[in-house]
Formats: sequence, structure tokens, C-alpha cells
Amino acid sequence: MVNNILKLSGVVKKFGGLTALDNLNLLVKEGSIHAIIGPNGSGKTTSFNVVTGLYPSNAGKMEFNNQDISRMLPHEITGLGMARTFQTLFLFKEMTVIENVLIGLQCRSRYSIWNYLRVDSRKTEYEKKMLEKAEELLDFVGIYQEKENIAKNLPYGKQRLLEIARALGTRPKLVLLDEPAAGMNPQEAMKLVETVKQIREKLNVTVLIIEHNMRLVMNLAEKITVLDHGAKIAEGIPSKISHDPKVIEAYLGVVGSRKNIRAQKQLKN
Amino acid sequence: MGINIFDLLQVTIGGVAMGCIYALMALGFTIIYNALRLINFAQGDMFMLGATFGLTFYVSLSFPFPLALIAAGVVVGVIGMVIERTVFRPLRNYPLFNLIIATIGISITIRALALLIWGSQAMSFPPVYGDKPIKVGQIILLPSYLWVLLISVMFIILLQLFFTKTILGKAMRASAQNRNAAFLMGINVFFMDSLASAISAGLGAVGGILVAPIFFVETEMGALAGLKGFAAAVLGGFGSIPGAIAGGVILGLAENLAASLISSTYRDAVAFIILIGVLLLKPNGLLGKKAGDFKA
Amino acid sequence: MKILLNKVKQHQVVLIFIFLLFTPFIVTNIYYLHLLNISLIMIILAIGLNLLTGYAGQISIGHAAFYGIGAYTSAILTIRLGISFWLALPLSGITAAFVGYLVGRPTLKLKGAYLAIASIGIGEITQLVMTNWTSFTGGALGIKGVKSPDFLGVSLDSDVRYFYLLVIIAFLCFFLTSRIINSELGRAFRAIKEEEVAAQFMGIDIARLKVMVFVVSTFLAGIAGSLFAHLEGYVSPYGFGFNQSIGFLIMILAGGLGYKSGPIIGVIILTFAREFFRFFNEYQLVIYGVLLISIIVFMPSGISGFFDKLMKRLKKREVSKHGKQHSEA
Repeated sequence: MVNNILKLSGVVKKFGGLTALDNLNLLVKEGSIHAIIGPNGSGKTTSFNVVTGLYPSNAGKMEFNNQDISRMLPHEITGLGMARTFQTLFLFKEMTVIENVLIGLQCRSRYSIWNYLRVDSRKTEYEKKMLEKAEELLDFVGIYQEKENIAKNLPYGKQRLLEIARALGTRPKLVLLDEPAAGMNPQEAMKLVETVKQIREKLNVTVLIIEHNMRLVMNLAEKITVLDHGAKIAEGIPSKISHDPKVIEAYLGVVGSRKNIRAQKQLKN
Repeated sequence: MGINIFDLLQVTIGGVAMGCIYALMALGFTIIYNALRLINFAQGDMFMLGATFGLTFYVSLSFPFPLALIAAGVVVGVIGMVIERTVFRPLRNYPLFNLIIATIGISITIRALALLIWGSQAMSFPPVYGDKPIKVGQIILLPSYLWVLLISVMFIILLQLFFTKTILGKAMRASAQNRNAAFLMGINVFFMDSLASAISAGLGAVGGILVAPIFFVETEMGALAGLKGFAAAVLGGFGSIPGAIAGGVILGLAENLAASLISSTYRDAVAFIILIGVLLLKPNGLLGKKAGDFKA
Repeated sequence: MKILLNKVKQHQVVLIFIFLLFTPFIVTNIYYLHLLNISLIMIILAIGLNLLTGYAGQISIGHAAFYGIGAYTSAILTIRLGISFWLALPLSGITAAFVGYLVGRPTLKLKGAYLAIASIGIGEITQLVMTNWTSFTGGALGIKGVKSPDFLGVSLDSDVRYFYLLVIIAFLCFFLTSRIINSELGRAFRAIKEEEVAAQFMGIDIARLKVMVFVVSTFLAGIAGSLFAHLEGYVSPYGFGFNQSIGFLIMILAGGLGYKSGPIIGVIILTFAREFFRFFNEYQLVIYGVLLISIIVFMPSGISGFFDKLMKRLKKREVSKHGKQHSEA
């Protein structure tokens, strides 16, 4: 029997009068690639922000790896093994690429000041090991050659990959990718598909992904959850979702217009 | 305590009058913060310049007081505009910490220049408000505080009218709320920055000349007034105009009440104790949405 | 590689240390030596402030208050309670750090520059307490007769002897903070400065680390204050106010925020520049103010940052030159 690594039941998030997440239930199977799609403003990113502890939820229960995380702070949840990337990049812009990954790698360090004042010969060895791991990760996402560059000088697509490498550095069991293909050209997006698959195959990390690029989602995901106005309107395997009239309507507005038929075709591809 | 209701009323009016001065200072901080997202530590020096220019206009040039007041406001307003053009605008894309230190550089320079012009001696401003106390029943009121109250309230009302009724004022508010959108709507946002800087400086100057006849005029007088105005702005909620006014009045009142009821030794500490208290209990101030959303 | 570079530089640091040992024989003018002593004290404080502002990105506009708390604690402990300087020194740091904790704990929990605002308030309140609580602090006159420390029976009562004490303590502070800066902890501080939101998702408890770095910096300010009190022989409220707090910020900014050499360069250059400006008499402050604005405009990352970038550009040019020769060959 496969475990559910993430379990959301009845999660509600309100911003003032606006209900951003309306009684959301979600099960993410361990070892799967699970996608969340939906029109703009449907609460996809909000769901990530609530799950990772950035915003407190107003109601409902969230379990990660059978542990209640409903009231936890982001750094505690990261420590349990959940990592994320951001739709609007949040890199440490003035630091080098490798330093960005190193910060991810050191995420379970106990920052006690005495540790760092003491002279300890094991520390250099530890640093070396960290550097090696960071280089491995950069190699994994394919930006090893950029390791000494300042993060803000990377092209947009590579910045996205760096965010993924940094998130993987925290050695997560589950990684949440928020529109990783946004701003990438088709070739880069194709490579990203491979990378995401590898995250699951090679690193054994469950992937929860928000993505607008339908082709990419259909290629990647084993299960798709569709959100609209903060509520789940459909869920299932890609082939079923792309034919669901409710999804098509929510996503594309009125069924039958020329623009929508074209978009529908794209969805099916 | 040997204080009766009439004394209390007197203390209250004095406090509200000083509070209006703090409100003018707080408005100066707020308007420039809204336009440029900048805490301007030279605001206190605009207060000082108002008093020193006012003294020159009123005494040396024998302007009538209302004219001296307006002239000082305008001259200092122009100085504010010049500062915006020469320092703030070129530094717009610099880290905010640098900008804040730049305002301190301006403050040091202005104070040093004022020292060269007016000297380090404290100067007294002639008693323009008259010094005969006004008796209303048992209440004895000093005319100076009444005048300060009256004139500063007038300026606050004028400012409100400017922001709500004139095209220019509305454009300024629009550009403060969303700079890019305002720019796309054809508002000259750079001119709005200049104007904000000028209005802030002018308000500070009005505050300075209004209290000049009550206190002495000296080049260091802006330091404490500036910090208290800042405290008032934080109390009201940084960035909120009604907040700045409310914060100023509350601060002035609290200060005067504490000085007469408890002890006048720590009179100047009241503002800062309130400041810390606000940060602990209601960090966004009384009317603010989000204070201090800036970083180094 | 940044990490390796720092190790090479340690030899240079040893050389500087040896050079400093001979300084009192070179700088024989006692006035300048005294100024150098004051600079060393301010460097200790500036190192802490640079850790706070330059690395962790938190602004304190009241550090002179912690400096003053350290100075008064040391004066009161040694004079009223007869405690030895060597005990009073760490206690001054701890007292300042304790006040720092009380201020930092609630304000650093919030996002935004609440510490900057609160520290202005704390600075002013501290100043008023120093001036007005006459029975405890001596009021405006302050406390006189703070004794020079003894070291193994030798009284460090001259500027030359005190210089050696200061050099040792300043070096110790420099080394220990450098260890922090070069470690994971230093990297975590920089992450907080760069992007607080992302730092949380790297497992960093940002509130705790911000309080930690603030406490360290106020501790160093307290230590510096104690050293100042025992150098001057008295404490008074002057020199611990808003202007001094701003002065420290100017020093670290001019030196270069987030550069290890920044506080040292900033303190020394600004201290001696102000001395030099005395020749301009009444114009000195005008020049100082204009100089300050110019540094911000023309060297936004400070003197250290300016030269660091210059060196990098030169190195790049050299590399590209070599590259060209290579291709020609």
C-alpha cells in the first residue's frame, strides 16, 4: 500500500473577505508526481503558501508524513523534509550560485554561536563534503558551469533551475515546484521535464507541481488536481482531466468559442 | 496632587498646541515616506531652518509675521525641492540604507551651513503672540499656545483640502499609492517627488517658526523635534496622514500631561517611551496598515 | 574561491599584527596615539555593527546607547562595587547584550525595520536616563575617577600600554567574528539579509538568528564602552547619543557594509579625516557632510567595496588579455 505523504483536509484560507482556499482536501501519494492546475487566482500558489507554513490557515488540518503541520512555521516544516520553489524567484541574489545551494544543504544545522567560535578540525572536512554535495546538485539540474557566478546574473531559466537545486539541497521528501517552467523557452522546458522526472526516479522525492504549461503537465503528472476559486473542481489522471467539461469551462470560460476550442486542443496534446 | 480641573484644561490646550507642531513634523515624515519610501532624517533641520529664516525675515527684514511665516515656508520648501533633485533623485535606485544615511549627510551639511550663517548662539524671537494671559473664567490661557494651535490647525486643514480637492493633490496621492500606474496615467511622478519633498520641508519650516517665539532659536533645535515628529508618525502608523495628525496630537498631550502630573524631568522621554510601547503592543501604529516595510 | 582566499589572507593579518606591535614607537605623538586608541575601541563596536547591518541586514540607530550602557556599567561596577576591571569588562558586555535582548526579542520577531525604529527610542531614553538619574549615573557631570586596569601588577595607565590591550582585544573580536562570518552561521545571516522569505524555507529560524546577531553586536558595543570608560577615566552622557549612533553607522557604511575590512577602514579614515578637517575651522562640518554624501553617491558599497570591485575588474581584464594571447598563439 502506498503512503500519502501529504494530507490536507478541509483547509480554509481567507484574506479579509476573500476566500482564497475553500475547504480544500488533497492527498499526495508518496513517490508520485502530482500537479495542481487552475486559472489565475484559483488559489494554487496560496495552497503552497499555506502548506509550507508561510500563511497560517484559518481552518482544517494538514499532515505531512503523518505529522500534523497545521500550526508549524516554515523553517520547522522545512526541517521535516518539505521544500519549495517560488513562482516569483526568491534567490539570494547577491550570493554565488553554489552558496545558494550550500544554504539549502545546511538547513538542519543547529545555529548555536559556540559551535562556530570553537576551533574544530572536522569542520573543514564537513565544509568540503558540503561543497561536493552542492556541486553534485548543480550538476543534477545542469548549471554546474555557473557555480561561481552571482545568482542575479544568471539568465531567467537558469535562475529557476537554481531554485530547484537549492530546494533539493534541503534533502526533502516532498518538493513543491511553483511554475518552474515560467519564462523558459521550449527547449529549456523539455529539459525541465526530464529533470523533474529524475527528481522522482533518482532522488526518490515526491513532486507536487503547479504549472501553466499544459503540455508539460500532461507529460509529467500522474495525477492532476484542478482548482477554481479556491476549491477543488476535479481530480484524476491527465487523460481524464483534459476531457472533463467542468475543467474546460473553468479554465477556458464559455465552451465553444473559437479561442477555447484551440486551447482545448492544446490541452489534449 | 494639587492640580485642579482648570490647570488640567490649561495643560491640555498647551499639549494639543505642541501636539499640532509634532503633527506638522509627522506629516512631513509621512508625505516624503509615501512618495519616496524614505525616512528623511533631515526633517528636523527643516524645522530649524523655518525658525532661523523666520527670524531673519521678521527681525532683519521687518516682514510682518504672517508674511515672514509664509516666506520661511516657501524658502525652506524650495530647499526641500533642491534636496530632492540633487540627492534623492540620483540615489533613487541605491540601497535604502544608503539613502537614509544620505539624509543624515544632508542634515549634517545643513546644520553646519546654518551654523556659519546664524552662529551657535541661541537667539530669541520677539514675542509676536503677545504675552498677556487671556482669562476665560478661571482658566488662564497663554495666547502663544492658542495662536500655535490655530495656525497649525489651519495648515493641517489646508493640506487636507489640497490632498482631497485639488487635481495636484490627488495626483500626488495616486503616485504614492502606485507609482507605475500613476506614471502610465500620465502623471509626472518625478515632479510629485519634488513636490512631496517641498511640502514636507515647508510643513517642517512652519512648525519651526510657529514655536520660535516660545522657545529659543538655535541650529541644534531641530534634532529633538525631528525625532519626536518621527515618533508621532510611528505612533499614528507610518505612512498614514490622519495617523500622523492623531499621533502628533496624542504625543503632545501625553507629554504635557506627564510633565505636569508626574515629573518634568523625563518630559522628553515620554515620546520615546510611547514609541517603544507602540512597537510592542501595536507595531503598525494606531491607523497604519504596515509600518517599516523597508530593509537595509 | 572565497573560502580559500580568506585563509591566504591570514598571513597578512599576522603581518599587520606585528606591525601594530611597533606602532607606539612610530606614532610618538601622544595625541595621535590616543586617537588611535579611540579608533581601536570604535573598531570593536563597528565590527559588531557590521555583523548586524552589513551581514544580517538589520539596522540599529541606537548603538551608542549600548556603548554607553557598557561604559556606565564598567564605571559603576569598578568604582562603587570595587570590582576588578577584568570582571567588569565582560559584565559590561553582558549588561549591554541583555538590554539588547530585551529590545531585540519583540521587535525582531516582526518583519520590517521595527528594530531601527525602536533603537532610536532606546537611544534617546538611555540618553535621558544618563542625564537625569543623577544619584545613579552622576547626571550631566557623569562619573569621574574610573581607574586604569592593572595587568599582572602593571598599571595600563598610559596610552602606549593601553594600546596593547586594545590591539589584543580588537584582534580577538576580529578573529571571532570572522569565524562566524566564514561559517554556515554567517551564510545564514547573509541569507536573511538577502531574502527573508526564502531564508525561512532553508530551515533558518529567522527571528532567533536576528536576535542572536543583535545580541552579539550589542555585547561588542558594551565591551567597547567599558574599554572607553577605562581609557578616558570618566563617563558622561556626551558621546552616547543619537549623533554618535549615526556616526557609527556612517563609519561602517563608508568603510563598506558586509566587508570584513569595512569597519576598520571606515573607523580609521573617518576619525582621522575629521581630525584633518579641523584645519578648515568653521567649515569642517560642511566638508564632512559633503564628503559623506559624496561617498554614498560615488562609492555606494563603501571604500572596501570600491577597491574590491576595482580589483575584480582588473583581474578580469588580465584574464581576458591572457585569453587573447592564448588564442593568438
